[in-house]
Amino acid sequence: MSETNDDYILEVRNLCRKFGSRKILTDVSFKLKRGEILIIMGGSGCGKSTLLRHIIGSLKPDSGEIFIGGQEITKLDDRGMAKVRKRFGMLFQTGALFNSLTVGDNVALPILESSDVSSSIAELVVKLKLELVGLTGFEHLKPAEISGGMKKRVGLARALALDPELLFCDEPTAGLDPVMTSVIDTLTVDLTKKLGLSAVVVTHDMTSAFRIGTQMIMLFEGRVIAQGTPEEIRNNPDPILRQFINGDADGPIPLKLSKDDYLKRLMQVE
Amino acid sequence: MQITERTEETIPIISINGDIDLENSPKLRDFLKTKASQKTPRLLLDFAGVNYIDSSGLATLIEYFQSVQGSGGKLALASLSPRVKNVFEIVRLEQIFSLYPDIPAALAALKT
Repeated sequence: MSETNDDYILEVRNLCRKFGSRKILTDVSFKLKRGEILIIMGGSGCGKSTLLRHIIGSLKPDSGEIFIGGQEITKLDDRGMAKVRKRFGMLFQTGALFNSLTVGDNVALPILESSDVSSSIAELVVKLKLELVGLTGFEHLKPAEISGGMKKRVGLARALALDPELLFCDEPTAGLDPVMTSVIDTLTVDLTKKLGLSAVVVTHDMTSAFRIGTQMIMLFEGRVIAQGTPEEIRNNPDPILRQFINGDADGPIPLKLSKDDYLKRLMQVE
Repeated sequence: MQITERTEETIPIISINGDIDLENSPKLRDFLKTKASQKTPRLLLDFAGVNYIDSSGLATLIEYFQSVQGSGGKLALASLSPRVKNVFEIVRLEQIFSLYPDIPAALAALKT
């Protein structure tokens, strides 16, 4: 087992991945120190979700290495990966709650799935986790009975169910209004501090990114084109980065509308 | 995780050594269930050998606390490391459990 510096909870080294002939990730490298919140930003299709899927072990790279808490994970089998997964929690874009289960049962799921603890212990853990996200007393409701922001908080409680060291959030504020976005951001920062967690947050919400990030990387066409503290990213003159942060329609980021082979494709006999 | 028991001035002192995590908390739960069924009136848990407690460990202590509350059972926790104490404080359990810096302080409190 290779070891990296213990100060770093996550390290990605020279990660490359192709889907067919398309390069999705090229030579992606970065490190995350314990206690920090790393923002992975980039436009739609830049490879950020693919990168996250590699880090959580649901995809394997063509080459490169990923270390979680010093352990290299890209060559682990399912059993080895299941052990590593207990060390991190994942908050999905939509909350990804099971609609047929109550809020409490959703939060209890990872506990009951990965251990032999009794359901009464799991129920108590659920209460502790719901309190952390400000949802004490909501355990008996179904996801359909609560708001979008609450669903995200339940998702967060579930991500924290196994007391992870590392939290992954995929677009945690997507689809939320500015107030709810702020609530989720504050909660993410407070909880990482309080629980001594590190976090990786994938987002293209720039307000949110600068509000919570302590480190940032910008992906463009599968490559890291900038990385640093929020201050360094703000002062980085890279035109692609500037366009992305400012949300300008004009700039070096190509507008991916249909290309001029449209008529040819339309008339082609299959 | 190892659990050892000794008695001092009629009070059982349970020393826990190791991490109280998902893997080990069921063992602690079985032990405490036995204590609860024996209606142990006073119990001292010595945390000097505990480096880490997770939420399932906290839940195990809460369950014991709930089960002896009705019969007036007393529980004291001694010698928690700052890291372990912090886990209690995050979920405000220091307001429920009696935490003492060392065994003599915990013994003194249980005797009153």
